[in-house]
Amino acid sequence: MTGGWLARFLLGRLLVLVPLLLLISLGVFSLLQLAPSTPERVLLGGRPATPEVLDAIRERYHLDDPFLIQYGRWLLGVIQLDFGTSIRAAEPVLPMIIRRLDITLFLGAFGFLIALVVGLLMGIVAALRRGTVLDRLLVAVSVMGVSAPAFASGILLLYLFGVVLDFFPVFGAGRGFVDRLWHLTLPAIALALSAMALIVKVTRAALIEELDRDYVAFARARGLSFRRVLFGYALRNALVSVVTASGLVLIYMLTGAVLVEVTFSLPGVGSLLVDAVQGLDIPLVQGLVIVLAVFIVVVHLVIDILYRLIDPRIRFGGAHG
Amino acid sequence: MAEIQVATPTTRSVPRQGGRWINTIPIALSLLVIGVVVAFAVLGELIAPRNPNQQNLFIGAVAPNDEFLLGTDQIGRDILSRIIAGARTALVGPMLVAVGGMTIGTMLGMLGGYIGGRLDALIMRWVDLMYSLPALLIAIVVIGVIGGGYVMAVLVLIILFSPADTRIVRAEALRQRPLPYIEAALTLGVPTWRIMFVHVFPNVLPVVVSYVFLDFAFGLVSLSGLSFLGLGVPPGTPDWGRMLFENRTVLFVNPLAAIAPGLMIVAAAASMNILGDWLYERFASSGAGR
Amino acid sequence: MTDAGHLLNVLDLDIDVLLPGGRTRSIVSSLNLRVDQGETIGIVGESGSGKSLTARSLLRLLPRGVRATGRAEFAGTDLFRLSERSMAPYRGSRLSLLLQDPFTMLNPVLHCGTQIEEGMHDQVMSREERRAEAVRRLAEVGLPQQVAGRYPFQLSGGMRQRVALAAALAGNPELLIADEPSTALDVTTQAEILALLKKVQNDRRMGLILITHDLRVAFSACDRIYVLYAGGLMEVGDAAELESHPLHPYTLGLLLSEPPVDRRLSALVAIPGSVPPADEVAHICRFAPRCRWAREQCTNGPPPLVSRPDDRATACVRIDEIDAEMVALRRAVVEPAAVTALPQPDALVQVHAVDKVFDRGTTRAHPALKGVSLSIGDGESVGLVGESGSGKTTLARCLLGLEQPDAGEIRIADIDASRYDRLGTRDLRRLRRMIQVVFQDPYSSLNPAHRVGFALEEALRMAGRGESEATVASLLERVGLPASFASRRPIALSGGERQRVAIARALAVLPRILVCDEPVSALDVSVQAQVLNLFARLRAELGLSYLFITHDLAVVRQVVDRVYVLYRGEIVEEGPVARVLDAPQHAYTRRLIESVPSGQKVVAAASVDVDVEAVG
Repeated sequence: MTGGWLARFLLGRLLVLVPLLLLISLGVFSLLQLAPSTPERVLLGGRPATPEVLDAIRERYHLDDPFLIQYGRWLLGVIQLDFGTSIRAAEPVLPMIIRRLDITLFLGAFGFLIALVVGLLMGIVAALRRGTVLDRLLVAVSVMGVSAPAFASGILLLYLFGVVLDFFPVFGAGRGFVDRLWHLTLPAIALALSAMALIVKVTRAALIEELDRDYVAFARARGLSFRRVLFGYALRNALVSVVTASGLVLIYMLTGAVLVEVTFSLPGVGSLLVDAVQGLDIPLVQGLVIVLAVFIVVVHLVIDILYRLIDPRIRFGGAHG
Repeated sequence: MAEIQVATPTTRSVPRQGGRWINTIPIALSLLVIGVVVAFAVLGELIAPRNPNQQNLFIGAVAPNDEFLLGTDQIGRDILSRIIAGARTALVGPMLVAVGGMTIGTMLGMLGGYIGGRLDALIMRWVDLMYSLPALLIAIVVIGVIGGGYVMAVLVLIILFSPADTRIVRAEALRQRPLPYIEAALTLGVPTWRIMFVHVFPNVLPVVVSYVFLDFAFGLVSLSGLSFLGLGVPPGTPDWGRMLFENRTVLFVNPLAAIAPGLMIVAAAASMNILGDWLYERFASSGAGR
Repeated sequence: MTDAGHLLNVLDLDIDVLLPGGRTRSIVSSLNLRVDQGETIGIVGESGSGKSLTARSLLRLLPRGVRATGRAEFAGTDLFRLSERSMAPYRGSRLSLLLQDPFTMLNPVLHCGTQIEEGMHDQVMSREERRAEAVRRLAEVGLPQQVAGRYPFQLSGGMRQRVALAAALAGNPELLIADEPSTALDVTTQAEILALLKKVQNDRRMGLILITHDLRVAFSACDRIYVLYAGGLMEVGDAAELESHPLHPYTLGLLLSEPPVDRRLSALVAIPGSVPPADEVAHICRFAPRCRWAREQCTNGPPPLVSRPDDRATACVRIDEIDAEMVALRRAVVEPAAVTALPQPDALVQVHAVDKVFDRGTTRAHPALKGVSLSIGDGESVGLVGESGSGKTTLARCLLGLEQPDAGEIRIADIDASRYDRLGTRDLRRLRRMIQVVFQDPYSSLNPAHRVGFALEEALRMAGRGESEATVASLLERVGLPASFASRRPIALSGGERQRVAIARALAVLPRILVCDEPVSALDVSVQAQVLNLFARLRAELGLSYLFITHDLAVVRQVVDRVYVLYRGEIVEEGPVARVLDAPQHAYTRRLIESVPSGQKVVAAASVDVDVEAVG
């Protein structure tokens, strides 16, 4: 396997993804034009407006220009990494986002790790002990988890550990790595719970399906150790489904992060988005959406590459499964 | 997005431990919970001890006592009555989302899966795009910007849920298309529309029904999330998601004010999940297929 | 040879499924068998006989919920008494298992070489030595070195089966159990694999247990045969003797159900009914419900396997009484049918120079049909013989309008059927009432959501005939099913019954020609004969024409007047079926005929190497 295919693949993908990002940004831009309040009033934030003031605002923000020109101006700015200025905070958008990005990234990664590791373990055990009470219990627990929205389990955890047991801190994101870990444990768990079920279910189902297959029976008949058969044969082939599920979970983490940040009052990108949307802070919303879209695109790209690494049939153009 | 909903199939080769009574417990419990929620929604005013919107500013938030079985919230409203009243938005919205999404999904999925061709390519392109995006996030942005409250939230979620449903129905339609019994129908000269509705759809229906339940659960979770953020029901409405947001502040005084609605959401969603999984299991192993 | 000297000696093997509530369901009971070093034994059974589970039980690889009891003495040690830890070293190194489907037997994400190397886990070697040894093993099964670095999906079915064999032998086992090793393969590949198995066995002095449903395969490859039916042994004996003089009505029935490839019979003697579940018949002679010689003593209790001279055994309690009758029946039935001179019929179907290319214009373009021409006369039964990939199904689909040919002409009666999508409504309707189809897989031929009655009503509706209960009942009756079947769902029917319903559905429009695409390949041998007889009867009663597509030369001989041989999209030979099968002109036809397992023992081929170019 040469590295050449990777480069070619990436190039092909980029050609599709860049227009996609443009489309998304255009979509958000047009969306904001549909907002019920006129931009000028929003910008004023409820202060009284004389016609002169309104004109001045329209002049300043180029609100009279045709739609596409406004969009083009904004796009030009983005390419130069100038995402405009937040209306409410009167700060440049990009630094605002970047400042809060690390909390969300930390939270997301932490939550994802928990969901992945615990989910995989539960899924594997459930598959190996299928049909038993343990299996049903594990699946039930994960179903509970996914039925509990991140904010609901967040509040429950808050109460149990923050109020009753006073074990974890109840708000804020902490300073320094260990302190941050400490502060973000509860939010990360809440986040993980809401999506873990998908990993448990998919791992379990995929593993059960693979364990039933002929090549597993044949491998055991040849005397291969159970560990080898489980990891090298069954899990390895179940991996594609698991990777797909992990990708979906990672993306779902974004949504969950928003809810969790609001619940635990964390100053991350998620709570920023909620504030921005509720305050109709147009430049901020646009900037956030672009950043999120880039993140999503990168995740999908990584997953696609992983697919090709895992399953030679996809690489060679044959159908999977 | 993707639905974080995936039905859990069991294995075929294992002899089913179907007769054991212990397996009926989750189903029975789920039916009970759903029954209670439906009763709350239908009989709301009749069984609630108090007016859910009546404020008692002098009392403020108090812990459960004889007068207020679950205590009160910040402005003195009875939690129990609000829980009962909240069953309505917990039932109607998610049901509309599930049924609406599945209706669109079924139409598009059957058309794309069975008829194929350019139409299918177009549908799949849309489905793949939507599947890769976080639905709730999109909902937050759209509803936050455009406004529209609960109705808009339901509509937006219907549109955002339909790609996943389309995918499921399409997969099932695709699976059937090359099968001999469909080709035999073609050879007999059965018209296309009749094949789709009379020959293909009956085998698709079981999957559709079970996924409606799963969609409901996810719809409930999503709608309550939107209400939590103030993007669903108007503030002050007795809605379980909204209550969670509003009563966070009284967690130290009356924790039940926030925990009770949270538990209701979990119970209702989990019950629908369990029922959906169970239905899927039943159908996958019997009707459709050998 | 004493009992102790056998390589494998199985005594009183019972296999049960554990049901909830503590009940059990019997799959196999009281099975005894033995294998000696260098010996090949065959376990012959239809579906539901329990043969595959028997194979797995010997390696202690039964699925959850299935239990085996008894004794399985391998070189003196009872395998069933060992703990899992003690059993593990036996697998692969002392005894090994080769499964049926080469397409699912290998790990799709590992190189073939790796999978072979893994089987050598308890032999101490360096990496280079291991790799070299894997190449050597590949050569042993006739595969070139490059295969080691390939993935299974890059190889053909036959090559995958060879890789699997090399992997199964990696630990140098003394006993190999091969579960239907050639069933999923083409007839020509089948012969190669069987020859390869024998060669490998000879070279290694292994014991070989061959599990198969195909009697001909068993006779050609095995020394001794165990006949298994519904979970119990019916007969045991030397292969040649079993073939010439069976000592059990079931064995006789199997032999008579198998259409011979060298002559045509006026009718096949079919065993009525279908294979029952094992525990339904475990308390009596298992074959009694279907046996024409069954009497009261056959249903008193389960008959034991009784030894006979010449190292044979039978479970038939009446064998001494009925032996003479059985011999007489065999002799009578084996008389060939008189071949009448066929009048020249008018052509009902004319196919002329049809081409079909899949994925046209892409790099994967693949010509399925090249200039194919054939004709089917009114009332004539024509066969189309070919292996997988020959294009036979594509041609059938073109005739039915499920595919459109890229070039050439198809005429059915007076209608130009070359492009169904260009036909007017009236012509289309007439055409659809003239030509109908019966597919191969009975399990997906019927819509699981429709009752049998509904499926037939649907067909009658399309034919413009009334959908009355009476008409449905008459359709069912014509295919030998009771009218009560109309209210049943396909899931409640057996394979043979489903196929009959499919035939009834096809007949509903009163067609003149029936396209049958491998209609009996998926059925048990005993049921196959029933359905073939049905086809013959329907043709006589209704004056139908057939296009009978099959890979099985013996079947084609029984059913058709003329035959076309299709190879890689081209017709390479045609003619009256007797002439083509007895005196083939084309090399491919000859190869096909030679590949049919016959009485001749499979010769351990000296060279069974695979073409290097064929490797992906």
